[in-house]
Amino acid sequence: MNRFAELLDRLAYEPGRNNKIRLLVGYFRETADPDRGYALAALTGALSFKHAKPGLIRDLIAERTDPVLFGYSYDYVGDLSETVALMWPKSSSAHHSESFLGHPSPHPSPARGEGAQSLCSPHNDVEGIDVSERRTTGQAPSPLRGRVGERGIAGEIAVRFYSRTTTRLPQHWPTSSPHCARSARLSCRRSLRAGWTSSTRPGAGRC
Amino acid sequence: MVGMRPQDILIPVPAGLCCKPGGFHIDPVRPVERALITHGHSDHARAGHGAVLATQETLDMMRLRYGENFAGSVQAVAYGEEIRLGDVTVSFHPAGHVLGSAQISVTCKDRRIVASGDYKDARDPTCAPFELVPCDVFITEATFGLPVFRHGDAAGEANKLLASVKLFPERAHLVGAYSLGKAQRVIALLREAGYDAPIYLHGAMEKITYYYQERGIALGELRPVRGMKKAELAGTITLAPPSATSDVWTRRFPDPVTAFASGWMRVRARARQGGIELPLVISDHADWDGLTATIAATGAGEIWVTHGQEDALVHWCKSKGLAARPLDLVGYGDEDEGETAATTGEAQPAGETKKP
Ligand SMILES: [Zn+2]
Repeated sequence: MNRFAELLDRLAYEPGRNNKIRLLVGYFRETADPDRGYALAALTGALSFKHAKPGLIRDLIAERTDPVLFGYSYDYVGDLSETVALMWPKSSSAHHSESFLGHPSPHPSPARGEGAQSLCSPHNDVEGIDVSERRTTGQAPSPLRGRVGERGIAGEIAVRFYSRTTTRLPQHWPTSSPHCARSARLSCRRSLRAGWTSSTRPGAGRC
Repeated sequence: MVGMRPQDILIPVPAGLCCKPGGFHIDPVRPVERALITHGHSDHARAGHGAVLATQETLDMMRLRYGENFAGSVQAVAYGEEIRLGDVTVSFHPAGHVLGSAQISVTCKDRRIVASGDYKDARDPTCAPFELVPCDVFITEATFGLPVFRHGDAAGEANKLLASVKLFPERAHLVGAYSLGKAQRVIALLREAGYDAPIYLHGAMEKITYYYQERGIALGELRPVRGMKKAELAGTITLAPPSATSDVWTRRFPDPVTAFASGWMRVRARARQGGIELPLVISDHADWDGLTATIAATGAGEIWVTHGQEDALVHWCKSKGLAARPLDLVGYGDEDEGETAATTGEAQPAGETKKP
């Protein structure tokens, strides 16, 4: 998906027809199935995005981000789907792996500053997907937790519309790996179906 | 001493951040008697101060840009060295932003404020890595202080550029990059990715890039693009200041692919605005995750936010229970403007004139 998003960006920025063709040829030559099949369908208008309505996208991002920060971001970017794609919480495994600080980031020292006690890790905050709720279920943190965050927005739309749980995310994330791998594949396919999303985000749709 | 407030130690004034008990300013935007400079970018390091205290690299960069007499007197400080100034103790610590960049720690009666200047916590082969300095008050930039700015993996961006060079071997690739820091980091990333062909430099890049090499930063074979024939530039990569990539200067290149290495390239409208064909998200500033993780890791209970998206970062701090406020400092953010305008002339081919 990142490769496809890259292709779309290049096509949009490249003014020359012959150069556009070269980009397309390059993409189809080096990309494996089924990705290039989905890409072809997306480029030729054969995919429908009837569920990806602005209202739903707003709801999904509202569940995951601070509304004030979303407001500032939307103002700056000027495009709803791009804002959401850029803000969408990253997986913990991909999260800021370059940082010297090491991640997950340390909790701020409670010794300094008023209100320090109430701090939680900013990592959890940007991670977004109700970590606290999972904590209260009494489950030990799953080593597969990172996969949960890897579901892109298209995956979330897929969850809403293609499974029985239409209004809430599952309370208990699957812990057995075959199941997890299957849902990761599913979310990947769904990402392709909704090719407008997740595009420029680092780590988006990686599978 | 109990009751000493942070603003008694450092306070924003029109000239910049002023330390009254120490008798100096940090990164002043107007000439002052004594200046402590965090790094060599032109919006932080200006000429005309009475005395300047900075790292050796920053002093050298100021000398390269402004000439020998850029200050009345200078003193070089090593990372970690403590210096007593008036009633305060100062020390410089790596900021990971560009070569020689420093956070400045100011301690007065056990209360420590860290003015971080510009910084990043991501890996950079061309400068010392960011050092975490625990403090009571942390002064942070907010250049990329919105959650849409997440820079990702810079090595991947370098590979993107190399893939394009491979796909279009008959075209030249022109990479816009700030001449101090960004350009050298891009070159180093290309070398790490295995690219060993000569890399060409716009005239405005030469002095500072050769300085990096003198300081032991391995950048491989570099050549001035000046004097090259058009056909010879097919399949090559040239680094140029951002303003030059939209200039008539680009006519010397065969069907150039215009790239721009910047954190701003994360947002499409910014890339389109600049007529960029190949946006490369490579930044010398911390992204949103880097800013918030760093703020938390300093342990500071109070955060002062300057140049950039102050409001969003202040909001985030407050939502985490930290005291936070924007600092009204003006004059920062145009890292490269002055020097680009001043030096593009030398790279002009004869008979072509620069756009006004
Ligand atoms: Zn700077």
